[in-house]
Amino acid sequence: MLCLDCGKDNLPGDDHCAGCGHDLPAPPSRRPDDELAGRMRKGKVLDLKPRPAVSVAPDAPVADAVRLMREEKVGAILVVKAGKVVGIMTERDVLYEVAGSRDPQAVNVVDVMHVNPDFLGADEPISYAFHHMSVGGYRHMPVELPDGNVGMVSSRDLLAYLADSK
Amino acid sequence: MAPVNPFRRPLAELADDDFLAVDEKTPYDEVLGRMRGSHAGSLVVTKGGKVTGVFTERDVLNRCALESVGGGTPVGTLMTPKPATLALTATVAEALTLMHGRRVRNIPLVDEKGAPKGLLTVGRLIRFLAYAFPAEVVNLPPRPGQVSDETEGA
Repeated sequence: MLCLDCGKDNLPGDDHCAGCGHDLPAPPSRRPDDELAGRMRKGKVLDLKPRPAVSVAPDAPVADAVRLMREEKVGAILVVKAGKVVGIMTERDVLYEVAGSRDPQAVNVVDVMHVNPDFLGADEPISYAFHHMSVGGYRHMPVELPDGNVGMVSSRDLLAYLADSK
Repeated sequence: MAPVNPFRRPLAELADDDFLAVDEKTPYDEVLGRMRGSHAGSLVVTKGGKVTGVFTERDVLNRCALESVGGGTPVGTLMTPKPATLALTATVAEALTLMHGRRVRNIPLVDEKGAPKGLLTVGRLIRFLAYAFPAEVVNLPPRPGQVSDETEGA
């Protein structure tokens, strides 16, 4: 039973969230839209149209990463060292770790990034992206593309897919 | 009886009463503190009790992170003004269309007087829809094909 407030996955039948104490919603009495359920099983992560990931080195100042994120209009940036993804930094990290409290030129990306982010496979079902973004609370996820490059999907891409399905 | 279509559910079912709302005059450093303290990425900004804007982590990234924004700067000068809003009676489908069409991730929910009654975020919308499809989404293992080696509790 997923909490709509904090995202914690509670035991079925619980009335209150074990994470935040808020009321859990009553389970739906009927099965909703089967057509969309089928699309979510059959659609692939590649159908979310991952865009090329923007990347930065771990020892780069956060200020450089922020400039790149502004230029590329992205909310998350991959952190790459020697060709390997070692982390991800999001606008949430900038808000929580840097804004108003630290000099973005003096703090390096490695100090605020999340290490070893989860990846999605391009051929995995869309429901897996949905699962990670709802249960994990992610809004950006890297994708292993068939050509060996790394792409990025966001909650916005998922919304676009759902908007076409409703 | 027809199946309950999650897209036709009213936003009142998703609304919470613990969203953050601050007056336009609230200083930047206080706003940052409240967002961090509540683990929030966005909040509603009001003037005279009516919604006049939203302030989000994207605003921080684009307008504040590299600039010398003083801690006393009123959030009203940093926010995104005139946000798209919806009533609590609007449907999930309307919210989805608005978020997708206007490329926004936060929609203040308002009453007939424009007073804030909730804040619908993209994360909350996705969690709601995930819950509507538990077999497809919520009950999935972390990786496709994953099978537990042990029985639960072993």
